[in-house]
Amino acid sequence: MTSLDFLLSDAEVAQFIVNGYHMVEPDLAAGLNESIAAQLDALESNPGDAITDSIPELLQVLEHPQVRGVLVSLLGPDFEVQGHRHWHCKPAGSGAMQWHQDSTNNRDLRLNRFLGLYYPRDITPDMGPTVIVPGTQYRNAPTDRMATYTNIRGQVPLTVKAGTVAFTHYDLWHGTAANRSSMPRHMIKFLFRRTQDNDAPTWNHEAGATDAPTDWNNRDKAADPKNILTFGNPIGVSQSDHYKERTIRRQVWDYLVGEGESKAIDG
Amino acid sequence: MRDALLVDSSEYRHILVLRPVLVLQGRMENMATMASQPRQRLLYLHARTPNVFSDIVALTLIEPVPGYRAEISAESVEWQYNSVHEAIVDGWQIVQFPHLQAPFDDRDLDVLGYEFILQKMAVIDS
Repeated sequence: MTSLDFLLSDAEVAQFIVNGYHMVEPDLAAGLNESIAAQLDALESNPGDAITDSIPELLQVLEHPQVRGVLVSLLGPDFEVQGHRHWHCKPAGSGAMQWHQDSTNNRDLRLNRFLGLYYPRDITPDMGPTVIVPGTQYRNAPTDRMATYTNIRGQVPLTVKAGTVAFTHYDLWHGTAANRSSMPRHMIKFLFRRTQDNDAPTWNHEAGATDAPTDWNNRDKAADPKNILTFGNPIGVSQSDHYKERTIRRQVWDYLVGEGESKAIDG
Repeated sequence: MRDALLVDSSEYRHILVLRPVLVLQGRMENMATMASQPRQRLLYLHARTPNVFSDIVALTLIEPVPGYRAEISAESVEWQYNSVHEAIVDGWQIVQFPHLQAPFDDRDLDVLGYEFILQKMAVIDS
């Protein structure tokens, strides 16, 4: 099996554009998750970007065809695994972390970079999971302005099986719950980047994918890219915001299929 | 009293000893008084629109007790109110309405919802 066997469908790409995340459970080698988790348990300090030097087995996760299939689909075949990666260890008894966006707010309609969050151990609600808010990736909201939000309708705790990789849009709002368990919660964050603008779709694209008629009667059950991009509203935002989101989503889609008028990729 | 603290004199030593006791007594009396006084509970409701009947998209409750923390939950969340109006019916009072005079951009997206801040005064034992 190669990454070509795991390319995303048109609908999955549209769902990523709308929700800002996509999760996979790659069929990793037996014992790999357990081995990585045990090595993380034994680390005495955080090696930062050198986490893959400390635990080279992590690279097997990145090389899995199911992981590469997502990266090729969303960033093109020449995607880059950036040098920055980080071990996010949430120790037993540690508190919650408030909502934030990473870095500053520079919304980019091109889908040029996103994160991959790998969890080597099952994550239960009491272990301080990452919590994300689908659809917030297009909001230019400084983290300070999120300080009065606590629980948001539609938030999704990443309570996942060991081995799960959650691909999250770089600007997606996220935080963590408190870890009230007796186990440390491990997550390894990787950063991926596009190196070439698309001149054609790089996923399992079907010609005419967005030509389906607008289906006003099944807005909540949209399954084709046209209606997903049109009606998806994962957290029930206002009509005004929803209309703006539609425009942004379409611009992102057009960019990915190679039809957008966007600036060239920065070096 | 400042001078007394600087003078090593036996006649002042009782003051130096008694003063913390008096302060402690005062604090305890103050705490007892505080416990009987209403305190301000705060409720941040982010509504879908500025209309008090519109749906709530986010909720933060702040209880006025020492050590209280509002935190993101990974469990299913109990939504006490579905609208600002429901909170008003339950006795909450709006102390700040959403700021609608902020710069408006018809294409950009920023924060989520419209923030109402409400209070309810309550006598709390802790």
